[in-house]
Amino acid sequence: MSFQKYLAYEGDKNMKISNLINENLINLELDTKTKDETLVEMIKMIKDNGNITSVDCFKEDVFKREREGTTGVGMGLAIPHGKSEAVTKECFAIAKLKEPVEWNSLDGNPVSFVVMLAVPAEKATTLHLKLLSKLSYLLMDDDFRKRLMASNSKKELIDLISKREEE
Amino acid sequence: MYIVCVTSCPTGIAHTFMAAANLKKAGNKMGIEIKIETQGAGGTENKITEDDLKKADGVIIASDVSINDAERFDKLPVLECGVSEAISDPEGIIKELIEGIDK
Repeated sequence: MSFQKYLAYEGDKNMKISNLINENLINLELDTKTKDETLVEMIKMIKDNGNITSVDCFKEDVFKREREGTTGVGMGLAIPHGKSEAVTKECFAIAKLKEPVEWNSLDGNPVSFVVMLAVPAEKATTLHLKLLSKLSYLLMDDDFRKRLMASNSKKELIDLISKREEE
Repeated sequence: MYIVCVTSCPTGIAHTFMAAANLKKAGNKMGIEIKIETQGAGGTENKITEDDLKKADGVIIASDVSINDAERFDKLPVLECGVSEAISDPEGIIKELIEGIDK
């Protein structure tokens, strides 16, 4: 499943998915009890990394998206996202949950791995949007997703993503 | 058998592409040639061409929003579903379309 063949790229060829995450945007043992709590903790991570101007404003947009339909896509994975004026720089955050939480997922199973996408309301460069889209696409690759979910170090997670996107 | 699909969702970043990935995967598994156009936040990708339309036996529109250029499919059997259905049960949707075509 080669995404390069599927999506035509333009612009900066050196820009990669793995540039949109760093170790501050990863928590490998997030200890939360509910979906809402998980979302809020991840939004705070994104705020602490300087990608959004306001926790409350981004939270409103992320929760709005949740109300439109579940982001729990099954297989223990959720991919919440907000397109928001609060986002100043595109990024994504990853959390592995200590205990799976209920997410009203498509397959009914609780979620243990969350990838949150922060998307600017305007002025988003098409390239960055495509990179986040590519990440969504790659997460459906069973082998890749399983390896990500089994990963126990932040560096390994980032390495897995950067290796996979070059394939 | 050749199937063309369009996926789209409100944000156009996540579900559109997960649905595309899973439809593609299901098509490969079932041995059916399938092409998926994504109408996402970054624009339309992998656009279905006139040649594709001539070749196509059926269409799947997996979307939670109204898609661009839906009228080009007017003469083909079309199955419409929510984008989430294409993520969770892509094989079921492809089968449903094929059953509809065979009738």
